[in-house]
Amino acid sequence: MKVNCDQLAGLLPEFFDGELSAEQSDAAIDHLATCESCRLTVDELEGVRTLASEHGRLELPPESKDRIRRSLNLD
Amino acid sequence: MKTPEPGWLFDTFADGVYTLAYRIVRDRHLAEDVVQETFIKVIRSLGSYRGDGPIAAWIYRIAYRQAIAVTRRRQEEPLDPVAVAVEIDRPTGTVEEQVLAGELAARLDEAIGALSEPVRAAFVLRDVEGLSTGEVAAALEISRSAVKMRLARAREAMRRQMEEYLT
Repeated sequence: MKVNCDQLAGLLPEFFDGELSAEQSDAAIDHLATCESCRLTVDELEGVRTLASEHGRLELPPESKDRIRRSLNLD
Repeated sequence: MKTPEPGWLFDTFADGVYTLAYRIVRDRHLAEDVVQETFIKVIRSLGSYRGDGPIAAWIYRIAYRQAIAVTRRRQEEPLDPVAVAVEIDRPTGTVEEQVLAGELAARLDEAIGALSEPVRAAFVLRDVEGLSTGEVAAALEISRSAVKMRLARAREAMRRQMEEYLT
């Protein structure tokens, strides 16, 4: 099995979720080995996921957490 | 099935619910209200939680519905990017590092906020909160293929918006 750039783009959601079949996965890796443009795209999309997971999360301010905890009678 | 303890649920999911709520309603105080209302509902409904799905998806479903209800009720308000930067990241390190971290947080906030609401919710739950695709589908009450479609749109838009931070 071989994939072109458009076909690879269609496989990316499953690629990132690790849900490709072995055959699809091999085809994606083969394509990425020879296509610099797709490799850059995949690297940047991976970068987006890293940015989101490392910097996208917020913390409820401690004083608000305490206030809500008390209002819920959790103390 | 043993019913989860309310205090444990709050400690485990409060920040995640706050993250989702803030990303949807775009206002710190309204997001805190969403957290409070969500956990009131969670605690009231614990007895009826059947344990037939991941508890994270159940809690985020309640939070998402609550955040959408708040969004529909309120009028658009301008955001204060400085306040957002301070609120999102509490950077440590040198002054220069803190400034860069604050800029990144503000830019990330702007980029996430520019996504359409359904796409944003999927992105926050999957890529920020780390839920599985199945859990996101359950939380947003949509199919797994719809989640994947929204994620593809979100990641592509974020890639364009955050390009300078990705090289």
